[in-house]
Amino acid sequence: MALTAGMPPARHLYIHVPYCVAKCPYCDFNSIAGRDAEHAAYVTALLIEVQRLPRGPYDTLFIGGGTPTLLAPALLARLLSGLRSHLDLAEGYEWTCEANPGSSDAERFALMAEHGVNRLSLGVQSTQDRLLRFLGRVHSAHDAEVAIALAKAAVPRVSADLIMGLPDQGEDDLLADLALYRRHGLEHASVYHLTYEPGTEFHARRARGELADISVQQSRRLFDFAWDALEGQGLVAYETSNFARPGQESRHNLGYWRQRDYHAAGAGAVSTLEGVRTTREKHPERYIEGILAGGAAIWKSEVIGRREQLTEAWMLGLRLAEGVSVSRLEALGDQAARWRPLGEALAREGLVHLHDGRIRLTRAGRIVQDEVTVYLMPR
Amino acid sequence: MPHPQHLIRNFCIIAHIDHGKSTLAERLLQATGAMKERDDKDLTVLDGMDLERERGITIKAKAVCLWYKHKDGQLYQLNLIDTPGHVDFSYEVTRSLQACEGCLLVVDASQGVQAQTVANYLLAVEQNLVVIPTLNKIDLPSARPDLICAEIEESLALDSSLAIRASAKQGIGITEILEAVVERIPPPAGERGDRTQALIFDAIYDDYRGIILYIRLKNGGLHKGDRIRLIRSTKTYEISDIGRLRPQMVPAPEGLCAGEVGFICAAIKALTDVKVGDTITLEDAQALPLPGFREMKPMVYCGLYPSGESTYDQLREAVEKFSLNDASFRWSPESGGALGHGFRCGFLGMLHMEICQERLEREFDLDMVQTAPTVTYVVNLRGALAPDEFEKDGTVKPRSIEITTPGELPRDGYDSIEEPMVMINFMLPADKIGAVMQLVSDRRGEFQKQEYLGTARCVLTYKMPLAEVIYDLFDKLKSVTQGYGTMDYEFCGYQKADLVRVDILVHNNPCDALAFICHKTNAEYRGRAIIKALKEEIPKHLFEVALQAAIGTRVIARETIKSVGKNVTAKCYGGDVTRKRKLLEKQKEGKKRMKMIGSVEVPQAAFMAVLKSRSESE
Ligand SMILES: Nc1nc2c(ncn2[C@@H]2O[C@H](COP(=O)(O)OP(=O)(O)OP(=O)(O)O)[C@@H](O)[C@H]2O)c(=O)[nH]1
Ligand SMILES: C[S@@+](CC[C@H](N)C(=O)[O-])C[C@H]1O[C@@H](n2cnc3c(N)ncnc32)[C@H](O)[C@@H]1O
Ligand code: SF4
Ligand SMILES: [Mg+2]
Repeated sequence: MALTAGMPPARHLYIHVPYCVAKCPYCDFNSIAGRDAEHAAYVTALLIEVQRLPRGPYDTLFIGGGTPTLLAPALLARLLSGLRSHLDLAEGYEWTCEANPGSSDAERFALMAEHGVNRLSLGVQSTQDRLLRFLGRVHSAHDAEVAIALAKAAVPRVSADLIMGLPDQGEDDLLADLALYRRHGLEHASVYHLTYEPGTEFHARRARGELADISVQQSRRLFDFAWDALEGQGLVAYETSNFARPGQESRHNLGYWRQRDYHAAGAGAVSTLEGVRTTREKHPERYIEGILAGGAAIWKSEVIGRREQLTEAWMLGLRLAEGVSVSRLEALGDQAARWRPLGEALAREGLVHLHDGRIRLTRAGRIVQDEVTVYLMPR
Repeated sequence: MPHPQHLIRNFCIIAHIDHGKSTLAERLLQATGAMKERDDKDLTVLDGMDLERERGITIKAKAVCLWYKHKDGQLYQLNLIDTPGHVDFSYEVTRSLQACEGCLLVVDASQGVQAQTVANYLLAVEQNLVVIPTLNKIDLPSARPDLICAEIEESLALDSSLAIRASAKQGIGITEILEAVVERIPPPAGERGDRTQALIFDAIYDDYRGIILYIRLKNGGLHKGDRIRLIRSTKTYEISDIGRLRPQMVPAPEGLCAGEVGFICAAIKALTDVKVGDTITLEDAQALPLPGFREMKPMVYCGLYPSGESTYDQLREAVEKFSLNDASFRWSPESGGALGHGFRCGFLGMLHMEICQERLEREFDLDMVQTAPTVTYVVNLRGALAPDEFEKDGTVKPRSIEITTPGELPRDGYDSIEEPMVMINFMLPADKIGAVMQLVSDRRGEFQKQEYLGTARCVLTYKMPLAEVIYDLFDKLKSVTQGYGTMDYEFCGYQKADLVRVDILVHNNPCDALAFICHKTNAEYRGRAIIKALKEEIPKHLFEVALQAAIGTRVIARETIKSVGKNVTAKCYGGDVTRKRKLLEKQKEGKKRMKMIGSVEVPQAAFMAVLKSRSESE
């Protein structure tokens, strides 16, 4: 195929399914409610785009959303088998699929497992029904319990997402949330602090004074609390918001944070290949139209030059427990002479560690990671 | 047809600051039709630079050619040069005088003879120019023309019966001035048949035309197409444009002849080829160089360093181009430790320094950090070994070095330091004598003499360290005399003093750019003031920042900037990498005008605050 020719190889592939039952009021992801009638055409377009990609082999595949589990089982099956037939998976691959407890069932999970999905990531968000309602979620706490059990039965690796820092969330609420991982023996956790993203309903409500940020002190307490609780369960913070039993980290996401190249397919999906970051049309209708017309449905492309790569190396590397590698910085042209005195000043304050050719945030530094990043990165 | 030489007059307008030179010049332009009457009488066309308009002062001398029909029926070419009055720009006056045969000495009819009136008058006399005393602002209710005429007689020994009484504002005396220029000032000497000699008295870099030269023809002539040689640089060029300034450039197809003032363009790009004061001659009929201009010795130095987005190379280019248009500006590369590479620059005074810095920033779109100003000190070193370093009587001849930055003061000791002294004259109303004497003795002034100008005003003369003069004396004088006191000073040699260097340590890093030399008795006070100013300007960091002032190893002042009440920024849940990067870049951008001193981000304003702390420290 002409379009495949010359496309550089990458070991990671992200696939986006933009549909949701309802739009959550805090969410600024590329997702859209309803449009069931469009699903079939969307899967067709997705598979056309996937066909143009190199066959692989891929180390990791990630189907995210939106809500991939919203696709009807037959369509889901078409998508999964299409992916299988167009792509090769490397030995020991990781294939994750996001799932919403509101639309998860044994049938879909079985379909996934059958086609090779070996990891499920569930958007649990909270174990308290009152907070789930506040978050506008379409599922209950019980639904989530059931979904986790089903997922565990279907695939070897299961992760659950939580959101903390809600205005009405107490420490006991969070404690109950965090107990989920032990109760189900999950090996991976994503715990995000709520952020008010421009363009979301929550953002508007905060602007109107109906919602308020929790205090800085409370945020810090929650972080400490979550980190302690999870580490107590043997889940190590390998990234600012991600915790795993060693060896169970999300290899797909690690690829992003380590600045590896990745392919992508789907509405609004972002790929980064050899210094070019490409975002596809965000609206599924435009995306489908573009792909079916034989085009690439590109919304925008951005060159990630050495400067941008360097800034991202600092920004993404500091998110990781493993930190930023000095040799990587050097390769990008950032000499130790520039950043070392700065790093040392922060090290004296216990905000970073400089060790083994890497710069890492300490727990105290992690709380203020943006400020540390801005301080350390070059102009 | 060239204009007959006997129908040319070259003159400049000199005065103390604000006595109305530019306003008067503008009136002369209007009266001779070089420009239209305008409503807004407060904006002069001659003060065309933004900075001149904002501050209401002239910074650059400006030449204009006027055509004036005299009552004898002849058409005269009058080349006028409006000069600045502030003492820091006196080099502009010196050079302008050398292009003229006469001058209007303007004296404000209510303010009377002031410090620069005397200083500029003496410069004109030195050049043997015809001086036409002109009383301006006689329209003011407070004008005292008779009294001021007496002052002129007394302090300048000029026949005040020849003084013209004028008001630039109301157009009084303008015709008398034009007539006096024609009748009293001689036409230029010079021989049109001789080999061509033209004095370059100013120059400016133009992105399109290359360097534009402002010249006064002394002998011979110049025309479009002539091959010229700049004698000092020995470079040759072809004239592409030649003409007069009205004040905009107007081509002169007939060329310029001996006695005339104008401009030439010759596609000159190499900045090093041009030096103000050089002589232009013709390539195939070369003449000898004219006497150039006496070089000015800078009074104050400071470091200029690129900051933010600006680079050393950009600053270098700017400084080179700029120095062409400001012949009294001196520069040389220097390395400023924490500040990286920049330039050590010399100025004639604090206002000059401020103006240069602003012009560089505006005209070349640069971001810079300026270090604290300092005078030139002479440091006598200890120990000498070579035989020629002994005096005849066997005592050791001290070796000495000149330093223009505190960083050059040897850390391992020295014999003594000498500081530049000035002889300073204050002209003030007699009832302000007490206040001024207090002001000056606080600044280590040594009283020399006191003279009366009539009964109400007097001249106080002091010998004072230049360092005490440059910082803020002028402003302080203005405030204790309610604006009526003026001053003028002249370098009068070096004198030993008990001086120390105060180092400023930012988080234990000594910062050369903030260090300063001062008298021992002031060190603690100034050290404290600077540390306080820095504390206000340096933003909170992720860690506590210690600030210290020290003499050698002895800390004389200290402050601590507390760390930020840390905001939780770990909330980010990933999302769009580009968007996140741009957010961080924007935050970083906010720190553009910062310099790193070790691990501390110091905003440009902090370096300025150090200057400010001096004037507020009393
Ligand atoms: N009342 C009155 N005011 C005048 C007269 N001439 C000038 N001024 C005012 O005096 C002030 C200074 O005038 P300038 O012409 O800028 O003075 P200058 O001598 O060129 O000043 P520098 O170039 O900075 O030395 C302005 O506010 C003028 O409007 C005058 O004849 N009468
Ligand atoms: C890309 S989202 C999609 C997951 C899936 N659609 C769902 O909601 O179940 C991945 C995770 O980001 C987190 N997230 C989304 N918006 C957030 C916000 N405004 N603040 C904090 N976390 C957020 C949620 O935990 C969510 O599960
Ligand atoms: S289900 Fe997930 S993707 Fe969909 S709107 Fe909610 S948070 Fe966003
Ligand atoms: Mg003026």
